[in-house]
Amino acid sequence: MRRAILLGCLLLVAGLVFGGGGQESRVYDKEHPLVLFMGSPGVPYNIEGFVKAHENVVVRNLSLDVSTGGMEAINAYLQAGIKFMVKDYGGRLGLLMTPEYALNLKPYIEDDYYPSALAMCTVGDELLALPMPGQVANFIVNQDLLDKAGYTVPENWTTDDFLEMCAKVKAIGAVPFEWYCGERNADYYFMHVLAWFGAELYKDGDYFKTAVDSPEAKRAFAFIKTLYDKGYMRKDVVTRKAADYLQSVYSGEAASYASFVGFSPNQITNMVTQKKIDKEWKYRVVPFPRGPGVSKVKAFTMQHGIVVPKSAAKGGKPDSFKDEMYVALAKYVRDREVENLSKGASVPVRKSEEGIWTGETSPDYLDTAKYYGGPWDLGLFTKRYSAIRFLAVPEFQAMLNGTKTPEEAVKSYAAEITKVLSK
Amino acid sequence: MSKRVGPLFLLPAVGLYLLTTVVPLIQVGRLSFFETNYIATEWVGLANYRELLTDAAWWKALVVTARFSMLLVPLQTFVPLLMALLLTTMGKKWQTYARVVFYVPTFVSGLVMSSVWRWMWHSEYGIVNEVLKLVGLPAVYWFAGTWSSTVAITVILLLTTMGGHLVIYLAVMCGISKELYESAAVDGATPGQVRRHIIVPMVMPTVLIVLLTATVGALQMWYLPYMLTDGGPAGATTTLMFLLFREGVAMARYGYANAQAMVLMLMVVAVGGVTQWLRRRMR
Repeated sequence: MRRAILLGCLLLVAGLVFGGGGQESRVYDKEHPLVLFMGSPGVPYNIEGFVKAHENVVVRNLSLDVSTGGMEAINAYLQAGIKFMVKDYGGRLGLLMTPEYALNLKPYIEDDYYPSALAMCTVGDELLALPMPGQVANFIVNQDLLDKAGYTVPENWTTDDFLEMCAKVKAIGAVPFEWYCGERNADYYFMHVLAWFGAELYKDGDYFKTAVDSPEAKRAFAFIKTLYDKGYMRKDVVTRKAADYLQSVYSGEAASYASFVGFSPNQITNMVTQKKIDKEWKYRVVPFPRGPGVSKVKAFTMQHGIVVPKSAAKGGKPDSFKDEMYVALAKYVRDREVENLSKGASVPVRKSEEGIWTGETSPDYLDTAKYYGGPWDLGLFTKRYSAIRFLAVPEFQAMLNGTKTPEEAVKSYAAEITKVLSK
Repeated sequence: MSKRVGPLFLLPAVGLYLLTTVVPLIQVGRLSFFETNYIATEWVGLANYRELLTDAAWWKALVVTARFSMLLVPLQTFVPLLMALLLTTMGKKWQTYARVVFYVPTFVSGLVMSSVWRWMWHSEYGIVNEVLKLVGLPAVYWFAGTWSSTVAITVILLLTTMGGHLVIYLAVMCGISKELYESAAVDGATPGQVRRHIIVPMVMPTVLIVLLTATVGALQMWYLPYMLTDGGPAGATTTLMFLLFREGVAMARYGYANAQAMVLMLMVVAVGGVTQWLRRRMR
C-alpha cells in the first residue's frame, strides 16, 4: 500500500511537471463559434461591427491591466496556455513578437505601409506585429501660470527661452517643470529631453550599436542636472512615480510638462468632476524647446502595434480560419483607432494616413506639427527594446543624487545599452 | 486494516504539499536550465548560472541584500527580545496590550502596508517629515538617497514584523517554570541575575529560530522596494528577490530568474544549516 501511494505521488508529480496540452481541430459555425481572445490595456474597443459581420466568431476582451508597464497580467494568461491578440506599446510588444507566438503578417497587409514602420515590427524576415500610428508627445504649458508669471512662450522656442520661463515661474512660487524618474515605466514621459538636444539612441538604422554616448546626450543630461540644481523641478523627482507626475500636472501645479494631447483636456475635466481642482486651467500645446544647434526636435512617439497570435502550435498545422479572423480583427481595431486618433498628433505608418500630418488636424497640434523633424528613432520592437527602455532611470537617479556627473551617467547608460545589444 | 487505511488520511495533506511546494520547486529547478518566456522554451544547460556569475546587477543586488540583512536581522531579533524582557517586569495587562498593538500589523498584507507607509514617508505630505519639522529638523527625501531609503525600508520592516517575534519571545518567557524563579528567589538572585541566568538561556534556542526566520525574511525581501522605490535610487534598494522578480516577471526571462531563485534557495538552506549547527553546539 505504501509503495502504491508513493508511486501515485511520483506519477502525479511527473505529470504536473512534464505534462502539456494538445491542440484540437474544429469546424466553426453558429453553434460552435470560434472564440478569439483580445487583450487590450485600457480602453475597451467597440467591436460590435466586427462581431455582426462574423456570425461564427465570439471575441472575448481580456481587458488586461498593464498599468504597471510589466508583463504580470500577460504572463498569467500565457502560462495558462491562452494565446491572444494584443495592441500595446513597443516595450511589451517586443516580448511577444517571437516567431513561436506571433503570426507572420506579411501575406495579409496592404502594400502602402512605410518601410520604416514595417521594419519596427519585423523580426528576421517576418512581420510579427501590425504597425499602428503612434501618438506624439508634446509640451504642455499652463497658460494661467505663465500669465501670472508674465511670460509668453515664443514661437519655436529654445532651451534658453525655457530657462527664462522657469526662472519667472519659480519667482511666483509655482513648479516650473514637472518631471520624474522614480519609476522605470512610462519612460515616454521623461525621455523626450534627449530629443530636445538632438541626441539619438541609434544612428542610421544600426540597431545593434547605440549612438547615445554623444555630446548631445551629455548636454541633455547636464541640462536636467541644471534644472534640478536651480530648483526648476521638484527636489524629489528621483522618488516620484508616474501617478505623482500625472496627479500634479493635471491639477495645474506645474507650468510645463510633457504629455500626449489626447490626455490633457480629458484629464483636466476629470479633475474638476472629481472635485480635485476647482476649475479647469488653460493649457497650451507648444513644441519642445530646441537645444543649441537643433533646428527641429524629433517627435517622441508612443509607437505601438498589434500582435496576432499564430494558431499553429510548434510543428502543428495552422487553423487558417482562425488566423484570418484574428487578422481581420486586428485590422478592424486598427481602422477604428485610426478614425479616432487626434489628427495631427500621430506619426503615420501608411501612405493613406498622410492626411494626419497636413490635412484636417486638431487645432492643438496644427501649430506644432510643422516644428517636428520626424519621429525620434526608438529602435525595433524586440525584447532588446524592452530591456533598453528601463536603463536610463538609474543613470538619471545617480546623476541627480550627485553619485555621477552627467558625462559619467551618459557613458554608463551607453555601456548598459551595449551590454543588452550584445546579448 | 488500520495500518493500511491510516496513511490514506494523509493523502490530502501530502497532495497539497506536493502541489504547492514540491512540484513548483522541481519546476523551478528544471526551468533554470532553459531559456523560456512561456512562449518558447529552449535548453541552455548551465548558461543561466554562468550568466549569473558574471552579472554585475546580481552581485550589486547581493551587496544590497547583505546590507539590509546586516541592519535588519539584529534589529528584528534583539529589539523584540529586549521588549519582551521589559514586558516580563510589567503586569499581564501591559503584555496583552503590547501583543495586540505590535502583532496586529502582521495580519495586514505587505503590499497594503507599503501603500500606507509610502504616504507616511512622503517627502512633501508625509507625517514623518512633519514630525521632523516640528522638532526643528529639516525634511528628508527618504526614498531619494541610498542610506535614507535603506533606513526607511528597514524601519518599516522592523515595525511591521517585530510583533510576531515579540509574541514568540513572550510565550517562551511566560512558559518558563515558576519553580526556577522560586529557586532563584530562595537563593537571593536579583532581577538582573534572574534575567541573565534563567530567562536568557531558556530563550536562546528561540533566539536562534527567530534569527533564522529574520535572515530568511531579509534574503527574500522584495515588496517594499517594489512598492516604494522600484529598486532605486540607482539600484540602491534592488535586492536579490526584487531583481529576480523583475528579470522573470517584467522581462519574461523565466529561465534566468529561476536560476537566481535556485541560488537564493541554496543561500537560505546554508543559513538554515548554520543555525542547526549552532543549536546543536548549544546543547
